[in-house]
Amino acid sequence: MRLRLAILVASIAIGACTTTPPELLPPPFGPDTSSPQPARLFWPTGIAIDPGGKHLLVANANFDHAFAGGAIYSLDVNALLTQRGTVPFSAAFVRKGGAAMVGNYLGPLVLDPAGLNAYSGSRDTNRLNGVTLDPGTGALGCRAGSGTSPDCRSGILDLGRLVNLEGPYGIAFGTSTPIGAPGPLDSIFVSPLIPHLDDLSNGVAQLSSPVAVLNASDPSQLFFSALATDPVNGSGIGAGPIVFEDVRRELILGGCYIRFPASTQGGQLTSGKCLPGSGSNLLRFLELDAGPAGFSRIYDLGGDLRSNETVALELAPTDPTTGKRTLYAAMRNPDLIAEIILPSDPGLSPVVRRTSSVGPFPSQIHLLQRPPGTPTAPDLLAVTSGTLTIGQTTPALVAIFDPAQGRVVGQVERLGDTPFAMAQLPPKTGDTSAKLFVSVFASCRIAVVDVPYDHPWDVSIQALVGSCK
Amino acid sequence: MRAAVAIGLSALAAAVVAVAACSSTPILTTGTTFTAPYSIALTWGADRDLLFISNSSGDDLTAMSLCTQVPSSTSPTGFVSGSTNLPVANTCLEREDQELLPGPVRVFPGSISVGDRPTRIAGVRLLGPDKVSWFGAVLVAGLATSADGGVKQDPLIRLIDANNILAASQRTPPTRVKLPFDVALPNPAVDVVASEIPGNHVPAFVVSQAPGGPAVLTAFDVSPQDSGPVMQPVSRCTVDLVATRLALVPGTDDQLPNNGGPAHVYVADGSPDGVPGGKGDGAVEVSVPDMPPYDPATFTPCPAVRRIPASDPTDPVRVARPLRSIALNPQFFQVKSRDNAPGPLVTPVIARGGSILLGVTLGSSTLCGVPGEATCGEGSIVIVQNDPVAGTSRVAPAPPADFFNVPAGTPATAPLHALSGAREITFLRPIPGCPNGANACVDITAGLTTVGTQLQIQLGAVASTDDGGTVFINVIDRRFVDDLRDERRGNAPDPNAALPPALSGTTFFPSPPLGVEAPQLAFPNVIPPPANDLFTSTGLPHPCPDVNTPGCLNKGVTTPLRWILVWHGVMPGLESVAGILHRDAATDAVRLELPSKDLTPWIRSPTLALQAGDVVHVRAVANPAGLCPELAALPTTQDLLIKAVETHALVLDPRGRGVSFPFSGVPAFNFPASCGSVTLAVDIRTGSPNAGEWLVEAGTDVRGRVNVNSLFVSKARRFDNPIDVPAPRPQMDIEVAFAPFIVNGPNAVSTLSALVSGQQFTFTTSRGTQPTTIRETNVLPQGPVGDVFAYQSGHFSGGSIIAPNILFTALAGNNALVRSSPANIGLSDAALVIYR
Repeated sequence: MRLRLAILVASIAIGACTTTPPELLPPPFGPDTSSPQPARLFWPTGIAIDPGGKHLLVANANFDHAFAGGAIYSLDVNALLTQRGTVPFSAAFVRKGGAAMVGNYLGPLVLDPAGLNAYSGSRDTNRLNGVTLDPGTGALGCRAGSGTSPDCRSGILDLGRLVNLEGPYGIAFGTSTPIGAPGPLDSIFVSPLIPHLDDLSNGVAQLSSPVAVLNASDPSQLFFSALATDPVNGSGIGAGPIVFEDVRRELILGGCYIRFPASTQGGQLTSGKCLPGSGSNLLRFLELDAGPAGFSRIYDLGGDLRSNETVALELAPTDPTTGKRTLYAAMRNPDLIAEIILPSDPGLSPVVRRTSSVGPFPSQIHLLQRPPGTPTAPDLLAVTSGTLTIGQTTPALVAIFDPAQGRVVGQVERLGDTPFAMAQLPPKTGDTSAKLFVSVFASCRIAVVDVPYDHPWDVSIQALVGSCK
Repeated sequence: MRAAVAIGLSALAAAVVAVAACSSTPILTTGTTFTAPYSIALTWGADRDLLFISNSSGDDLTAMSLCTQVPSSTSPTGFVSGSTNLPVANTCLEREDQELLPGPVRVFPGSISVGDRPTRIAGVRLLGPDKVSWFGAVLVAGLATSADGGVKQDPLIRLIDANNILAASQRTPPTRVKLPFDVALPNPAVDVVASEIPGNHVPAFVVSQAPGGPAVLTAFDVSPQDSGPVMQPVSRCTVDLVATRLALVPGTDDQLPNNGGPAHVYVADGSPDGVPGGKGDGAVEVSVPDMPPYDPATFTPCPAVRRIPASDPTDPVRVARPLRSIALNPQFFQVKSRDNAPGPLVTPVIARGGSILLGVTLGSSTLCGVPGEATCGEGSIVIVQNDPVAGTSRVAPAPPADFFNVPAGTPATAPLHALSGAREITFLRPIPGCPNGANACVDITAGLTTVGTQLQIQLGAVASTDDGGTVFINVIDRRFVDDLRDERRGNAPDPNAALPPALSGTTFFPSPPLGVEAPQLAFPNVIPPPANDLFTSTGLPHPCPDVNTPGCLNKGVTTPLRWILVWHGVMPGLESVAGILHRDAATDAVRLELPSKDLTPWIRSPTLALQAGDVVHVRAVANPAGLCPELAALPTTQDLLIKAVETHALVLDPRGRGVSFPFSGVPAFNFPASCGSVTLAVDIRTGSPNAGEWLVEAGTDVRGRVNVNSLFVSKARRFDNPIDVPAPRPQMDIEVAFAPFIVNGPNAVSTLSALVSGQQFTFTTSRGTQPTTIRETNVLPQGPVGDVFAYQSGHFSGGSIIAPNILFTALAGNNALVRSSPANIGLSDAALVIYR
């Protein structure tokens, strides 16, 4: 009897020592792999639509680490467009083979111009996630050796190890010229949200924020990295949103994220967004034609913007008459849309032409695309704003901003909690309204929003798809 | 279809320390009330005035009581309203005065729900048929729409019954809040304005507009009914412009006969990048009686429209000035003696209401990058003289020309621009009767913190500015009220007020090696110059004898800037350019191919002017030293001469160039054909004697280039007229002048040759003016702002101050409302209050 008890105890002990905790895969792969849950949205952040308008890609960020990874879904756009009212998310929305596991803490999701590959950064592991999209079927695969489909969690690159890039966030496509290249090459740009600690001595942190420039044809290949800020220029602050300016071929970076030694933490670095009211708002222009020697011109627009928290950038086309370009920026505290003019004369610095109040806590901005053949029409911007979760209770809405009038001309509320990214269905000739898909982060849903071009005040919710329950 | 009106509770929330130019002890209040407050409107309740503030990012209004009663022996109630002189009951309690209307939970301010984004509001003061009963209404322009089955329908203009709101907040007796009265519009309202003259029928105007469509102007009649105030459309027409604001002439000067209401309504034209003198320039005056009768399905152009341009043919480069905000003057005295002046009095001359239009500009693409136009022209204040009777207008003349009797050929004055761009503007109310004479009709306090100075001016205006401030404009003098100029010490002007803007000392860095002279930066001096004046020794002509200040620093033009002159400075955007260096087989030229870089913008730039004679530095070479040791041996600080500039290439000159004082030499370099093609990164720098070897930077902009022993004169847009001048100064005027100087003596060549690329002079200029500004100083961030509203009531008169203006400025950016008394800043503890 005692022997049997001893054997039992020994067996339990051995078992306890050797049992690997179960890996809770995200839906539709887990959590119980033997009986996986149907696909559902969990903390959706990035969102993108393919050029053909058939597939909507959504990044589930796994913000609460409920699972052993996030997931990217490829959804049937037509199925979403037929929804009305508040409806549950259906696994039938997901394309066959249209789910892939990726890393956590995903930010913006960006499809390449061909609509074949999508990327999003994981801010906890510094890895760049990538999936391939079959434009015919909407099936997803793992990009550039980031795993075996559908498990793409290993990511394409660890940008932290590779180039000291921490918290990959902003992603843009464009061209760059690595040293020795015969001309510009298609490139992927990734910006860091979090500055890298180069050195900490005598309580002074030396920080820098590199931008990774990857080969768009093979993103596992690093062209080069260049510093957007360093300890001397821009105090190393991190960036958030980025856009590629294709005329002067520069990368424009906004945002402000800092790290500093905290006296209450024994000198350990603390980090966070720049303090409101600290007065600076650095817009960085990174040259892309000199490889790692690329120079970053830094303009502090804080005095004119009166906000240091730029959360989104959107670039309007070049004015054919003046050669100037308007850069729209969304900012918080105060909550503003800024119109920043980029003069055609390189001897002149960017000019903050106007700031206008928008809804509280803006997140992303999107320049509405017009149907092909539409006569030149004024810009209209869609702005997501509002949050219920981050220590605030503000209306969650999409506002339509008319820069010509400098005011919000329409808005739709009750999208849920914390609307974030937007993707527009590619407009077709004859369309009278724009269809926006909006990820609603804390409500685990996608909102389908209709924006009539000619009477944007009638912007409306067509459907709210999904919930966290 | 209709939003319920709810009153939330209130208490005067609190404020934060507020300070103005002359600091007053602030009043502290507490709470959380506003959401991007923007528009401010005044109406009345049964026994008081009511001020409404719109929360433009939210969906509600906040209201404030302003008691008005003043004892009167002639009133049947024993009191009249200090703001209208009409009989009023003495029932507005002191504890309610200047307090926000409470909501159901009475420690919180009431929240009056009116629909999404109430961006503009207007107050209407109605009298019942008995001419004694008071009814108040607030018209709300926002994004509220009607709805059918939850689907948005027509945009609305919405009327709120102010008496009902007041009664509901007082709860004695319990009063239900009424639903608003709505009228459908064809598109969202941009602005709403109502006549300030009380009556049984009060005209109001709404302009609405769809993006890209014409502005639709609708006239309404607002009247009291048994159910409360209502509004009915009476006429409508369209105007081809982007409407931004509406305005009416204050008072009775522009009224139609028989209480027919305003003869004109003014529409600010915000059309971007318009035509000087045409669309997108200034405002338009629409004849109200000529507006076609209202038909909901008909949109005909307004038949009688007169444009009031905000630009002038005498502008140096005439650019249309679209406007975001406008205000028309109230009646004031052009000429009048003091009431108690000894001797014969002059015959008073009254300046008609509506004879001056103030406008706040929107930006113009053409002005982006113009020196002095920090915001593409956005936020400047134009002063336009208007004659509604003759149907003429013109931009006010530049000082010192007489404002009222403009000599022929007088140039127009430049728009005024405060430290930050203006957003909204209004006139201050002159003191009734103007007892101290025409030139002393508006009370203001100016001066530095320790020396508050009360002054009286002829006609004042205020503008809210995007740094959270409220600035004052001396309209007839065409300048800002200024803490330096208008301060008096004892009974005399502050002697420091006459000083020019300050010019800092100049540094030259890095210093040259020991034994080598450094170049100097010579600034024009005053005339006559002091002995051994450096600039005089240059032999260069004095560029500004009329300004006659060190460096030609010019009050009203010179701005606070850090100036840097860089020897062979790097051109912005060309700090790192990668290319392939090779010897062309056909021409044997040394070519740097830059396939990824289009140099056209730098070649065409008037300030950079990239050209032959400029130089490059090698930043990095991809070629191992063994393959091209000649190139690898080049110091990264060595200039390489550019012989020709092409769109995608630079042709370099290995021979360099010799020194020819005052122009520098460039050393030769060796790049044999054996090197083949070498990949390298360079920066591109100034070096051409034709364009100037020094790069001149002002702030983050390049102003131009200059050579050694040459004069650099920088001009900028005038932003103020802060000093008295004998003749009108140009709108584009000198802001600074200097000359990098090396004595042409025995050491000249060695000094010149010792200059190293990147060595730089640095100095700073100051503004030399300080527009009197009211602001809340200890809350960050400041701005942006909303409306500024001038209120006047005998109820708030006292002591030596007669009927002062009380200003309310909405701080949209930091969710607060500033209440200030400009006549008492620094003199009264109650002069500044912040509601938050």
